[in-house]
Amino acid sequence: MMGIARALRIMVLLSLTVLTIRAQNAVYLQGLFVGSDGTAKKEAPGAEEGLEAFHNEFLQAMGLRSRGNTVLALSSIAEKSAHDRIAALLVSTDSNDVAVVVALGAWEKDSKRVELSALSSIHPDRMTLDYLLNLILFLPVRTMSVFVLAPPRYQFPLDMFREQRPGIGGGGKYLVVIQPKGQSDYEAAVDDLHDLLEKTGDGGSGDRNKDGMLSFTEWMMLFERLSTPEFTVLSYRITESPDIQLKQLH
Amino acid sequence: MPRQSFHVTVEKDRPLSYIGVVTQHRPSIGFHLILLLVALSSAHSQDVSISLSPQIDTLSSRLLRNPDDRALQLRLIDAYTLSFNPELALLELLNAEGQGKLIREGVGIKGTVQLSLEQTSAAFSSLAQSYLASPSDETLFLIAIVEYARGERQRGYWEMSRLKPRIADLSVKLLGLYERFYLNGRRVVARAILSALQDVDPVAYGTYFPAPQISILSPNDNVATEASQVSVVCEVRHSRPVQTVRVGGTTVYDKGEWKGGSANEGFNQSYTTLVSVLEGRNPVIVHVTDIFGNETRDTVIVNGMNFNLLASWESPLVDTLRKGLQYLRNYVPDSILVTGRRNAARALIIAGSVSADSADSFDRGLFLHEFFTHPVSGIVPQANTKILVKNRVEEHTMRMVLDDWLLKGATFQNVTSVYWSGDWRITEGHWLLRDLRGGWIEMKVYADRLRSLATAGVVLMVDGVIDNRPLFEAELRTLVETAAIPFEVVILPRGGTWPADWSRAVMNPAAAAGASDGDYLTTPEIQRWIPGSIVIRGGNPAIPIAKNPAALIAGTSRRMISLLTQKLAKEKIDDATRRRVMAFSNDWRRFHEVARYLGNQFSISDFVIRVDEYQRRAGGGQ
Repeated sequence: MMGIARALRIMVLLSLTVLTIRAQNAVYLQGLFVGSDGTAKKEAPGAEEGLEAFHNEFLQAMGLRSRGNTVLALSSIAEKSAHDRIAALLVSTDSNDVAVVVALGAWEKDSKRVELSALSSIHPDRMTLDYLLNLILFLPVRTMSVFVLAPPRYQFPLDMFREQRPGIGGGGKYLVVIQPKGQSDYEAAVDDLHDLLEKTGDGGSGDRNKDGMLSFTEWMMLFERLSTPEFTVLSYRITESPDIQLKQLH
Repeated sequence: MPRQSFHVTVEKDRPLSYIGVVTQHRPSIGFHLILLLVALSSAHSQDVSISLSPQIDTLSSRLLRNPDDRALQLRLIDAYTLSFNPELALLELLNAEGQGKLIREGVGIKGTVQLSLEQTSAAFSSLAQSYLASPSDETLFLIAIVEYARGERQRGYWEMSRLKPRIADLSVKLLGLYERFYLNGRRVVARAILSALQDVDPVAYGTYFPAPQISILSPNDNVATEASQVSVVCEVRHSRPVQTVRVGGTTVYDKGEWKGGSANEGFNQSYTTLVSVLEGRNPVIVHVTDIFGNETRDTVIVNGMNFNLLASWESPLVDTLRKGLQYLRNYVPDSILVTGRRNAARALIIAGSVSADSADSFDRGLFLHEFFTHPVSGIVPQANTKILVKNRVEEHTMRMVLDDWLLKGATFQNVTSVYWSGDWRITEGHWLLRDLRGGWIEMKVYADRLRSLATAGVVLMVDGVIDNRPLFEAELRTLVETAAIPFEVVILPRGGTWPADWSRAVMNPAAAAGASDGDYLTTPEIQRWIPGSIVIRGGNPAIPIAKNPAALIAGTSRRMISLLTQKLAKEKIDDATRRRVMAFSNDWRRFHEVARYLGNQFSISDFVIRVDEYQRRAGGGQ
């Protein structure tokens, strides 16, 4: 669980740069999903609690509100299906919401049908690549990022997205795959990530605008800049929509 | 992702067999709908009445007895959906939801029912929710169709292309589902399914949904016509119902709003439509769509050559010409002037822009046109004349007229007069005439071909700014020398003053009196009248291209004087009187008086009295 805890810390750091949408009304976060690394509950004591803490910290750090539907879905650990809770999101989601999905864990590759490769899970409801893609397509929000962090030996199968448009082109829905090549690279990259994100803060030399505003595209570009030979960050633009402004709270 | 596999044995009561399968396997709603295609092929023919079907009746009565039976209610909703009574299914569903009976399955069933009702947005929400809660390829299949129905073809294709390797008989399923929606008049979804099939399996689509066939029987493509309207005769054949047939923008057939019906209703109709033809190129499009949105279009090009001289086409030269000819008609009757064959010739006048004197070019073109077609001076009927001036001197129009009219219309009966004026660029073997847009059109080829086609004779007049006159003359000379037909060429002098010489020569009988010109105008006379003009001709007799009113009147006048001399010799009058009468009659304008005397309408004494009266009025009649 050290890996998960560390990665979650990254996500919290990332969230500090996202913060909130500039809007008159309250801003809601939809769908903060966290996958599993395939560790059974009994072998990962405290993992669920740790994730729940992360979930709360994330919301608080971003100044976002939840409609009670932000999901902490651990399909391998939780007894119940993540699918049910994900499906319930469609009813409450508004198109102006921002959705962030984190799929954290090992991927079991299906060599015959790549799109049926799934996040490793002990629960029969599997989070396949096909499902993940459809989730991106079906969730009725205009702005969405799906982060995939996979351990070096069980990487995310990219084949299906080879023909997608890579890179950041503006607002829309994105799939961001963060893939370290080795365990040591993974640890080092996490530190680099940490440094980079800190530098983009108030004391850093990041390209944040003077008023502290970041567009969604700029925010996504920060992730692309994390890419190093050992630590690949790939982004795929799945759908397009107008860019929106985000605001840093701290 | 687990895949479902079912084997259906079709029994005598097919709907019942389907219900049985549903009960045993409880497949997803999407699968139900598709399964129905196999099991319930005849269900659509059932009329909506109090009793929908024995199965539904049985289920309804059982549900009445056990209102809390959730499975029974699901089966009833299924039965309604599958017998294409989505409204009833929806009612039952709302009832079940109100009672809180349906949770997970409800949303999928609702999506299917909404799809049946063509509520695509609602169906998408429901089916997407159903898929995310319980992912299955069957639900995804329906979602893909909904995407097509919502106009999201790219996303629909995206889903379908992933499903294609996972669902072996995807095309069959689409076809079956299509038939079901089609037969029940669900146009939007039926078309969406067709779009999906077109993307997934273009071969199957082409086989089952051929495009309508169009045969345009008349007119021929690229035909040239002088009529203002043309009849387009076309035949439309199709193995499926046709929605609209449009010919040249006019709807000649419209099936109207489609509410379902037989998919195999063939179509075979002929249409004759009058289409207006404007001057220039007229593409007439025959456009046929069938009820599935398949469309075919065919185009026939009709080249309009129905030029009309507009009222605004006036020029000082034409004005003068008309006045001069009218002046002649005041003194000489039409019985003399307006005679001769007028259908034995045709004329083409192309007066292109000349950089320095384009207005003159226009005037000269109109002058010749008027002269060739005026009843007093011309032998060419209006209908046999083509004139291209101003904006008509454009490559496409020129080629159309040159190819379709000048060359194709050449016969062994009609003499062809051609006037080509404009900016010329002459090189060896190439005579280029500039068009309105500055393009250069090769004219030599037309002159060459005319030599073999217009066997009755050709008179080619060239005018305008010629960059190499000697070379042009040499080339034209070669052309004439090698021609097997009567072929004459006139190179008009630069400057554009020749119409004045032309007018003087053909409209002054007094000046023509001394000449021995014939009644018809020929090129040697042109050379004589117009200083600087060059006439090139072979040994053939000169070709008449128009009448020469002055020579005609002068000749007539000469013949009358001769008759008058003979008649006066027999009259008992003195010489002085005879001289007075001859002096009076020597003027061509005395035609009427002399003719009446010669026709015995006047006696000699009446004639002499008139002569004396004329002499008493000094300058009378002048």
